[in-house]
Amino acid sequence: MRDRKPRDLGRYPSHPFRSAPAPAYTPAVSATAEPAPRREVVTGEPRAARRLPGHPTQWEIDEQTTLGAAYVRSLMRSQLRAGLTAFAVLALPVVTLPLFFEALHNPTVVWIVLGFGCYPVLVLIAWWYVRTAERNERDFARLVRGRAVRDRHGAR
Amino acid sequence: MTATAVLLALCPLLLAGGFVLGRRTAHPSGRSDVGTPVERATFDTLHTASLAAPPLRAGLTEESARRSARRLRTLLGTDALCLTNRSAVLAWDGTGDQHRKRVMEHLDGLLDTGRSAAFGCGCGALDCPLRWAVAAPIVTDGRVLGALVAYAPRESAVLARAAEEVARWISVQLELAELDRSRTRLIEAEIKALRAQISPHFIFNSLAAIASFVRTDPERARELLLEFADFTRYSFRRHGDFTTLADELHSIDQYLALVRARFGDRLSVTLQIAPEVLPVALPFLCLQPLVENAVKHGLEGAVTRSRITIGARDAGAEAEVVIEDDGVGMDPGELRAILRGEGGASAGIGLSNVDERLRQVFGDDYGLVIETGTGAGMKITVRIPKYRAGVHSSGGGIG
Amino acid sequence: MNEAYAIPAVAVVVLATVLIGGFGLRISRTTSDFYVASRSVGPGLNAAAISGEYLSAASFLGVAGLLLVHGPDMLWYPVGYTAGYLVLLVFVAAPLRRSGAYTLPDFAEGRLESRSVRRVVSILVVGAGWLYLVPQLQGAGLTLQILTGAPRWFGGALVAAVVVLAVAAGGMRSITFVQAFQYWLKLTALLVPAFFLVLAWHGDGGAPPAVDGMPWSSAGSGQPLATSRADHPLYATYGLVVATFLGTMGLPHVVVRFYTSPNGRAARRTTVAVLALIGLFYLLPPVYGWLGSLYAPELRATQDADAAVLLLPGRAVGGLGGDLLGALVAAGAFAAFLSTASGLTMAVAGVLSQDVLPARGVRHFRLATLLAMTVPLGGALLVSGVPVADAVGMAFAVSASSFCPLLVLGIWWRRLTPPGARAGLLLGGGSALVAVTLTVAGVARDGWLHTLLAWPAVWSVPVGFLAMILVSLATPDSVPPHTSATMTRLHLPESLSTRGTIPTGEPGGRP
Repeated sequence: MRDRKPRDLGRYPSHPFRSAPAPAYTPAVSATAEPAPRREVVTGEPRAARRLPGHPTQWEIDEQTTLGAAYVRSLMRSQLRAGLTAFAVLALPVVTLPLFFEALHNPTVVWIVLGFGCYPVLVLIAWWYVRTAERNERDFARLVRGRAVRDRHGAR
Repeated sequence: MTATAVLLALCPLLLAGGFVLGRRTAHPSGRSDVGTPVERATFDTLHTASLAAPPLRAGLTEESARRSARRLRTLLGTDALCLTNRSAVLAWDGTGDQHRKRVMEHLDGLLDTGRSAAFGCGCGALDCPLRWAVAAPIVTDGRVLGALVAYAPRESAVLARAAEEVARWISVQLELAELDRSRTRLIEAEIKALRAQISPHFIFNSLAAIASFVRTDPERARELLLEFADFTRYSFRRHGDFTTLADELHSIDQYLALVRARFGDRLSVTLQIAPEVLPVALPFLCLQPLVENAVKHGLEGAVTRSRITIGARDAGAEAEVVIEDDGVGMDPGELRAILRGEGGASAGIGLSNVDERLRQVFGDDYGLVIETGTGAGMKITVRIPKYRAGVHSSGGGIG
Repeated sequence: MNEAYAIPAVAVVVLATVLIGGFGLRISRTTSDFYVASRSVGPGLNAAAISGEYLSAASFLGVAGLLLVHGPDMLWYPVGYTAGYLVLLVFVAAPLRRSGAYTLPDFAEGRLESRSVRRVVSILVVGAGWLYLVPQLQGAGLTLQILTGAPRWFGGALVAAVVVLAVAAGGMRSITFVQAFQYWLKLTALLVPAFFLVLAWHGDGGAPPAVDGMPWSSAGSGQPLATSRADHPLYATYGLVVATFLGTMGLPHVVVRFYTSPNGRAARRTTVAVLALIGLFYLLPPVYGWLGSLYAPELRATQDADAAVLLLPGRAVGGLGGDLLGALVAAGAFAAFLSTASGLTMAVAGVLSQDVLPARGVRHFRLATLLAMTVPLGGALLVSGVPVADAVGMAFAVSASSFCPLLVLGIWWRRLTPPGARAGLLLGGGSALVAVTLTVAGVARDGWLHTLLAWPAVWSVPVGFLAMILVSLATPDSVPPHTSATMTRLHLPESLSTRGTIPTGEPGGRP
């Protein structure tokens, strides 16, 4: 939306939506209650078998983007790499910690590590991942937008 | 511990699996090869042809002929090349401009029969290299549109064959041009259909209302004009069949701002929105006509004030949108006829169109449910499934 | 426990839930409001809603109970519940939102273009949802019994009735605000009493921290599952870790909340906020578990260790303060039952009404709601004795073995085929479902067989992944025709994919 500055209420005295508080809402029909004309439920008639099967227009639009698919694959690879890195950073300690605790036999360490210590680490990994993923997407958007320009010059 | 061993073995396996997955999606780099002379010649030809094509996509006109003739002459490697329509020369490229006047004399037979023709054309001038010419017809849809004439110093079977091929290629380009035009016509028809959904009265009245503010309150006029621009841009957009509830509500907001500019105190609108249904995808412009209908009904009857409620609420796997007014309502029988597509009243066209499109996209379970009676106002309920295969609001993609 | 305070507290929670659900719509009457009212949900609000829905009785009561009985190894539960969101974030969050799917069956159908895969996923979603609902209702029964002395079945029936009435009567017109409210209520309900409990413990001085010396070996436990856990604790820990880390992404009530995010980027940021909010909450149950071992050690020998959180304020603080704090905890516990139960019921009912019941419509959704709640209520009444957190762990195991392979491979692997997905879902998810059903039915009560059946994720997750990959590779002709387009939509940032829609002046002003 455009820069809609808070409008000066006093300027439109004839305009009830800004000059006066709106009255409490009462349901539309019960407001005109006196003779209360009856309503009837009306629906259209079934138009059997008119439903478009499967995947209409939108698919065809997407389908034209075979070049785009190649670009998307490169985006997927960079995102998957970020995801696997974050996952590995999470998985390695998680795989080893139970063995470590088993060997250590010290409940206090377990309380501290699992009860309090691990949550900041989790949030940090998540934060790192989101930054990386968003940067990947920004780089990708720049790459794609630059493509058209480069094609024009690159053709000769 | 066996369990431990199994576990330790499994985790690297999973990780390795992930890496293999990543690797498998990578591609071997393509071989780099500069190509043989034949290949290079082919590339050059293709390139020249590709440069000649765009002008022709505008159809066979003097302008397009002039712009493509130079490329086509390069393609054929002749001294002069001429493009004609059925009655006159459209473009001449190359030497020997004096031949231009006499081209049409040689083409009578060709334009009638659609067969290629060759003719000698010595002009007497000593420095003029043009002695012989071949003319090939340009044909689309079985009609001869014109001819391509290629000039050479001597007779040449190769040039004759090449000219025919190039003429055929031009024909294909022109057929494509025709296709482009019919597609454009289709899009225009679509826009007209969309325009039919937004009443022309509304456009006139909005502009009149905006105009009335230009003197007294330029700032408000400017805001309204922006709303109007946004609203029409949204309404006339072609890209994608689907939109989100949020976008549709945004457009309704703009519509109402314009209506209020005219009917300020006669119309009160209440909106009740459950924010979780805002991302729901739905056919483009399928709520706005319902609101327009409610506004019309409300303003038609009510002497004092008309109330409209627009509600969107969460209902499990569906969103439920309710648009209710306390206006003049409608005779149920008449409404049924309109929904059957039999009604003549312009007021109902929007309703039956929306009903039809909803049923088309989501199935017969999702038609409009309207509660109304003469003088009883109207309540329209629209149910929209939160997901339907193939219904996605974001259009486009890249490429 | 003084019911004079607790019952009004519970009643207030129920009332607030219904009121916010029914009237928590954004209402506007003026033009400028209109825009605010139709603005989509931001990451903060949505994260609170997801957390509110996610933090169930298992978190509120169960974790502390398990810690009390089995010691610090049980801390893997809250860690897993939290870390599951990290795995969800890195592999699933943004693409899932971009798929436009509301439920998992939607995702399966959209990605694999197959109605039959959709049906299999639907059945598993209903199964996992029911497994998750049972302990919620049992927890409610336990809580109400402790608060008022009412019979066990009453609490579960009460929660079931409230949820069915609220959902089926169309009361939950806007569930986001309800769930966000429940999160903050639950956090407050644990945080404030914890503060006073620690103060009381400090004041007592006599009760030594003595963490090292506590007999965590669970020697005196009378629970069948507890003894078996002692058989192979390391395996159980790994089973738990795999199930919770990989299972979160497939929980039906978690998936549907992501639909509320306006786009993939917001979904990602929402997930980070969820991680932080849930991590913050899980700092508290360990405090209760630890204090429980000091003030209510006798609970360890009973079936009712889950009650520790409810009893502690009375034991440690006592008097009017203890009663008030107890009422606050009770209110939080009820918020936990209500939020998770209503979220799950809506998710399960949505799937039932779409994919199982014959026709669609509002009336069918009501019928589906009733069905979605009746079965787990029956289960909760028939089966008892499985600790709340363990029962929830089983739902996670089913989700991890079926939905995790489907989502991860569906999002990242182009060669996934409908037959492959079916095979993985049935072998992975099906075997996990059978295993936990056998456990709950008490087929094998000890030994390795019991351990393998009670914590199936360690073997069923690889089974699910392998079946999906191998069968997909064997059926390369069945790769869905629009895979490339689907993948594009899943991964393409919105800034590129919405080029065609109207540009608006203010960047990011519109969803």
